[in-house]
Amino acid sequence: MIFKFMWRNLWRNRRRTLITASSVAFSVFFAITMHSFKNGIFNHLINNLIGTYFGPVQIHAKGYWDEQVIDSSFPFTDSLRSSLDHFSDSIGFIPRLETFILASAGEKSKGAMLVGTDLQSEKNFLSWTQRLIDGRWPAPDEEAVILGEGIAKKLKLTAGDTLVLFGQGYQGTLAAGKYHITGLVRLPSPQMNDYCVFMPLRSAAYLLNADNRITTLVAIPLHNVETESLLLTVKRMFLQNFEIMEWPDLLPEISHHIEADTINTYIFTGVLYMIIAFGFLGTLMMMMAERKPEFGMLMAIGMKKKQLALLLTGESLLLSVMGVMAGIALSYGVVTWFAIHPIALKGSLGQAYEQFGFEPVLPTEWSVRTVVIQAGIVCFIAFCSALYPVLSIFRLKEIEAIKK
Amino acid sequence: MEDIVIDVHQMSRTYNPDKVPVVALNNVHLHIERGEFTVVKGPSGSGKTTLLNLIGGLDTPTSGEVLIHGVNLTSLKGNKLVDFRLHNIGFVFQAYNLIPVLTAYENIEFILLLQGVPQEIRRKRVLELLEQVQLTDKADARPEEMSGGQQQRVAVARALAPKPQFILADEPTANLDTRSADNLLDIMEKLNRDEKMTFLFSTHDPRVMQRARRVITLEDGQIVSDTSREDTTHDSKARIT
Ligand SMILES: Nc1ncnc2c1ncn2[C@@H]1O[C@H](COP(=O)(O)OP(=O)(O)O)[C@@H](O)[C@H]1O
Ligand SMILES: [Mg+2]
Repeated sequence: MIFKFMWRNLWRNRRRTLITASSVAFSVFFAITMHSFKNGIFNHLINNLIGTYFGPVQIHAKGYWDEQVIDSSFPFTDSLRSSLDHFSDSIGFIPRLETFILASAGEKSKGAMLVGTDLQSEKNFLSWTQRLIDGRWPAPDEEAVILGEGIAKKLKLTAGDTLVLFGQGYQGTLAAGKYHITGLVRLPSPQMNDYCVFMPLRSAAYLLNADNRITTLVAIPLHNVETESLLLTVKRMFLQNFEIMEWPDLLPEISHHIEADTINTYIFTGVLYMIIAFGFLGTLMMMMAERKPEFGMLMAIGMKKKQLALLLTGESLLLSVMGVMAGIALSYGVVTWFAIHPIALKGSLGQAYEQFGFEPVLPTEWSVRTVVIQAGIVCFIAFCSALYPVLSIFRLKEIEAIKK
Repeated sequence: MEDIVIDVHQMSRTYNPDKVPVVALNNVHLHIERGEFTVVKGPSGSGKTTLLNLIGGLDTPTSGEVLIHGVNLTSLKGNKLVDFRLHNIGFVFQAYNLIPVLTAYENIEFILLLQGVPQEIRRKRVLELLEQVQLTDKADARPEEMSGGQQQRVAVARALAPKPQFILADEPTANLDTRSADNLLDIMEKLNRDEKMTFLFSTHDPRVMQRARRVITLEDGQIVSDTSREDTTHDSKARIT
């Protein structure tokens, strides 16, 4: 009966209720959709970079990240190898030996990032290896390299050509060698494409006089293992002399960009909700003014102020819940649609995205957490707005109200 | 044996005591006994509404007191007073009597709901009341679908629902045509006769005054006359105080 009463009260002024509910619905829709796009885009981007090359967690010798030189490498001993093997069910490890080097062919030369790596593990755990565009992968012991598409273009090289590498090895030794190019690969970011040269780990160690040494150990969770638990395991294995880094530290520009964008989204939704709050309050004020004589009558015949206040709060919440439901339903439709058919960015914007290593699509991601938060905020606003009629109820005198 | 329901004792009410004081009631003394059917008459501004509001516990006297069946209304505060009204006093106002979104049935049920009466008993009581005010066929009608007279009858039924000590009605016929007014008074009279319900209402309509068994006349906030008419069919005990 009380619910029926509240419900009918809301429909006293059909148009006003519809306008208020749809403004709530619209803002909830907008907020959820915006957050879903933001989450979708960033998660897509992060997963892209993490899943293709960086991995969620990397282990280096302490201090390596600040000064990325080969002397900050650490020994990849047999005992370390076998202790990593213990986790082969839950964590994939990829050893890499990375250093800056000069790559040249004929007259042309260019600074490059040499990545000596276990190509089999890369293939097992990361997806950049899926984009071999020309040639074949070198065998584990082969004195050969795979080039990023960009650097190959700049040096005018292709599969079958020869590349000369020249640089500094471990402990200041001279590193120089001539390598057969077995293939080209297209990497997920343009920067990587322009710099990376891959070589089997053993060949790189030989070139750099860094036998059984690596600079980086990438750790990848397998079979739905949480990154959190991977981190715990890794932290227990690698103690003082190592630095364990997660993706926000590995990709600082991106994580800052996400933070800034998240703040922008919050500001935007904040303004949106402020407008909604005023609209809501206005509706309740009009409603209060219209029904004042009736409230006076109800109080006179024996309805307590507290009961009346509860009734009005209930009506306000009901109104907001209606709007919230509609907003959620609407945004669910839109978000799901765009999750299946992501917007593809064309033209210069798309290119700009690619430049930053973003895949030029705008996917969405439905997140229950976002929905709960947005719905909660709106209901909270409704609840706060209801304070106005509630307070005026407590100031109301029966006979004055009933006179109008 | 007298059974005094309303005992107004040397009561005065002054509005705006600090600015321009308006003495709306001046030293009013009044007894109403169970079963009376009394009208308060007087020109506009004579203090009828003020008197009824004070008796109904909707206002507090500047001096003097109101006792309802021995309970001093000025001693009741806040929710206690609201509860007292809910259980002891029935109200019929001139306008804004009903909740517009509820049907006749629901309007009457609402007050029983406030009293916490269980569903089954509510139903029985509401149907009985609708019959008493001859509106059984209008149970599902909303106020806007009823005439003014029908709406006032619903209000009477609602006032009656909690079986109060008495029913206060401030100019209940003011907005009604003659026939509806007569009909409403017929029903109130019948309730007075059959249920021994005490009625106190105000009016400045001469036709309404004729129906009362006791007429109290107010002028400038004072009772200037109080006359009882012996009912031939009924042993009214109205008396001058
Ligand atoms: N809230 C108020 N403030 C000031 N004066 C009032 C108020 N209510 C009534 N009055 C005055 O008190 C007197 C009695 O009013 P009221 O009881 O309404 O008379 P009636 O119901 O007989 O017309 C009038 O002079 C009226 O102007
Ligand atoms: Mg009046």
